[in-house]
Amino acid sequence: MKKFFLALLFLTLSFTLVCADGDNIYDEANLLNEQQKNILEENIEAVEDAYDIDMVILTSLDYYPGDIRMWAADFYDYGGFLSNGLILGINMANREYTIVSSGNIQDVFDNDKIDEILDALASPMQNGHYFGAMEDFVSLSKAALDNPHALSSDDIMMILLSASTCAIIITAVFVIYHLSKMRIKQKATKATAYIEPHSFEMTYQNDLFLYSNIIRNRINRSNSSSRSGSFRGSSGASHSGGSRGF
Amino acid sequence: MAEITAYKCPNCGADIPFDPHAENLKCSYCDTEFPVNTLKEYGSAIEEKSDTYVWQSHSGEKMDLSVDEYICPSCGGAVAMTEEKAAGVCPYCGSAIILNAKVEEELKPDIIIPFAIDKDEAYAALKKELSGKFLLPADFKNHRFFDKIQGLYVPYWLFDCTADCEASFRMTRTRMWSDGQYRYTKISHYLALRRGQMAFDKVPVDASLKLDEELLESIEPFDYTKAKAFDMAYLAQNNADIRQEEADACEPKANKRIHESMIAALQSTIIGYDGTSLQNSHIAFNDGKMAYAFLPVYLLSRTYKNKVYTFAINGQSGKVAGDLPYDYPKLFLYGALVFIVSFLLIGALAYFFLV
Repeated sequence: MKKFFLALLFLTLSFTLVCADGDNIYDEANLLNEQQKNILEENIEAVEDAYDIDMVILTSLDYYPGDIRMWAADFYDYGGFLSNGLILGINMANREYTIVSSGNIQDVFDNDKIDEILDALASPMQNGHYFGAMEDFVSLSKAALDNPHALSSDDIMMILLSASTCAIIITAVFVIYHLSKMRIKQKATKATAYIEPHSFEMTYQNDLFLYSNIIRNRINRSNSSSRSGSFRGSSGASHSGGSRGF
Repeated sequence: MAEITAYKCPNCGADIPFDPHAENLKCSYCDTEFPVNTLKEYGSAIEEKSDTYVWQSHSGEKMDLSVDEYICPSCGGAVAMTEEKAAGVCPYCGSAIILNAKVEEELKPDIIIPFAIDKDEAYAALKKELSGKFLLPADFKNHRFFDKIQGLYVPYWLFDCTADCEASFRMTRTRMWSDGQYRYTKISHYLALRRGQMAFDKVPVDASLKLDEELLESIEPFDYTKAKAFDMAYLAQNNADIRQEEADACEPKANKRIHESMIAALQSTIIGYDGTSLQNSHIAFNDGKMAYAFLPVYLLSRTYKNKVYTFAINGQSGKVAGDLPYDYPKLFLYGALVFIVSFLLIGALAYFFLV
């Protein structure tokens, strides 16, 4: 019940914000000045016009008690935006930022792509360059939409690494197999072929427990607040998204 | 027997003082506690005992061979031949051999295994073995060197015995669990004591110094059920290698093979552990007897790029052994080709998967 009222409160606030601010930028945390807002609005509108999507930037000073991807997703779902869109949420109280995609652009902004953009924003976010991070978000999103099948340098590295590793293994198996076929000489270390059948007789056997050692290792748990994966918002809409701490 | 004053700790190897009244003893170095009986068994298991290899001497019965000894001026190999066969090439290196001396008396073999396959079958076995060897140079594979194949009775010492072996093994069993905060690994250490006996029948050790030991071991085993009492008539068909090693020189090789087989048999009875390693062993032979035998081997040598490659073929089973030359440029070329093709294929697959 408590969660329900919190959600209602959240939605009311959201709509207030939607009505109060511009079309794309909801800067409750006052991270941007007017000039910066105008630049971002202009850039975002260019992307929106080109791809018929909504692109939203949301900032907040209110602590969100949960997965902040849900916070951004619910804002988008209940904000009257197009079904296809992308939102960057920065929560200054949680010290987390998130990117969530909705609708069919999840094909472009899947979890891997979102992770890639989140990683690219990590440095400006940690250094407090929020405007720079938002600009990067818009430009990187545009680049992803312009060339949806472009591989990142990480992807290329992964392809090269996995292909070389597999090729080395296959080549090693090929070489070892053919070298082993060339060995038609082997030293005899045993006389197994000359054991008289059924002559083996055990006269004594005993297994003794001696001692035991117990090794204890602390399980390392990641302290990072990173999350990524597909999920459903409280509206039931499916999203892809990730978040990072800063 | 010496009075026990201390046990050895199975964990750290430190001395644990003997206490006749205690049921359990604790190592003061590693704090591990052991029942006294366990320490006694462990102490007995690690005690060094000398192995006992006793072989009855061979009768050493000589016979009138009346054959000629031919030697190879190239490699020094010696072959016994009857007068009717007094011509040919060295079975070890393929060079021409020359008459050296008359062999009047030689140790009489107790048994001989006649050749069961002829030269054609031996050569066919060799060709079959060489086929499908991708790295074998084509000019080596295709060269006909059938004419040089030679049947040779190789002198062997055969060792019969009943081996009585006791061995101790260290084993471990590992269990892992977690309580959410810590991951625990419990390694339990065990000691297995095994004693058993086993009979060995005619373990062969070649008495030829000229032939590569590993080559002859590779064409084993021989089927002794086809063995016959020695007759000079067999040498009219095939030559014989001249014995160069006496039985006592061959004994350690037979002892080692029998010992290894016994340990493997005892170790095979240890089941249910993660790792097993031999700690100590002691072996004693009973009824150790030896016999002298001529066993049938086809030999074939070929010089290729200034190196002699010798093949041995079991004259009974047709099993082939030998050294082979490698075609290294082919290995490098095809290795590179396999690498490039698999790199491109996997790279393309990974690309389409990611895109």
